[in-house]
Amino acid sequence: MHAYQGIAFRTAYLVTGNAADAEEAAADGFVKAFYALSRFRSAEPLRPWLLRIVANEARNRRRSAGRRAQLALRAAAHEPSGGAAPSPEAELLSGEQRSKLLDAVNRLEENHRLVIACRFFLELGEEETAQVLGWRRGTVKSRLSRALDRLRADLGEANA
Amino acid sequence: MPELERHLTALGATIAYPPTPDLVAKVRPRFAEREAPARSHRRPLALALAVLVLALAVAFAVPPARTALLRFFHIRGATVERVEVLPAAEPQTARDLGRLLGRASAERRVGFRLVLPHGGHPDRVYVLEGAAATIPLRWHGKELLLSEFRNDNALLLKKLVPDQTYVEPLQVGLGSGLWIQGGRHVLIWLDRTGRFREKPARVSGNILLWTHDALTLRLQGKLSKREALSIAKELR
Repeated sequence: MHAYQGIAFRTAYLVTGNAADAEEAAADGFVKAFYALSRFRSAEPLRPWLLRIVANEARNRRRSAGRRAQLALRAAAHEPSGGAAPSPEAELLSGEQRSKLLDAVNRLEENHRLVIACRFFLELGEEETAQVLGWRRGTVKSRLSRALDRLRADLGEANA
Repeated sequence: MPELERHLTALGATIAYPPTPDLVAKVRPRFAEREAPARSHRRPLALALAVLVLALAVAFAVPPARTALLRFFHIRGATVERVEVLPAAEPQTARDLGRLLGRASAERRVGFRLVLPHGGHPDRVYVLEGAAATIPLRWHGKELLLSEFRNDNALLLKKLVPDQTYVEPLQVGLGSGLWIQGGRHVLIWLDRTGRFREKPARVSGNILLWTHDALTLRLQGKLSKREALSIAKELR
């Protein structure tokens, strides 16, 4: 459980957009996963199955709160804590670019934002994303492609 | 990777997530409530947590080895399970390590540059299914095996250890690691995509498993934890 609590909490946070709901959703997900273990096929990897339960909990929680899905992510204002050097990937983007891109992601409709979050923020593979979101693999591909097109269009217009 | 995708990955690396709460502590009381609603509410909470850990470990069970699983540990690319009874396995032989190649051929086959001790120039490398490379090393007169594989290609190293074996999660450089000491272990290489699954092999000796950038490394030999960590620090 220790091994998965980080990724479970981040998954829930990307869905709910706030820490308190994410904590509740991840905890509920763990409890439900435990009581649903008899339905789990041991030949399958555990992580996507567990994350799917957590993601469902997070979606339910967000719906019941009656809020429009909004990730409300904030790019780290400073370099990662602990004085660690920024990753080579992080160095690709200036603060201004980061903030524009994040705003554009936040403007996406929910499914598009979720697929972007799973693939690029949580760095899940295509198959794992499909399992976590409960979609077919083809749906992940097509929604990801549309989400990227929307982002390109949005960023293109913003720069115009 | 096209530019927008690279930028999104970069953005992902800078997202300021709130600190992960201690979910174990959070769910512990719920298990206590659900496990024994009619009995004493002072039922030991640790027992409920142990049940949870046990149940999650079952999910990793090797079907023929339906033994009672006690605990598991996981780092990227590797899972370690503690079981009461080891599954049947033959002692590890060179054949279990794969095909013997020169360094350059091995690197071409696995698709990454081998991580080696400073000045190390191995003349032979075993390559298993184009996925894992194992390099025999000599260190202060000790024979060691260093295995390396990419942890993003769904390759999973599954390891089962009996209860008498000590397992300690630790930090190795910037990566997560596990120190496994004592007893005999059963080792299974497999690929989640089903491309291959090696038969279990029994091994002995202490083992350090850790993540190193996109690789998971495994150092096996008659080493103390301090020695293993010192070698790990030297690898480039």
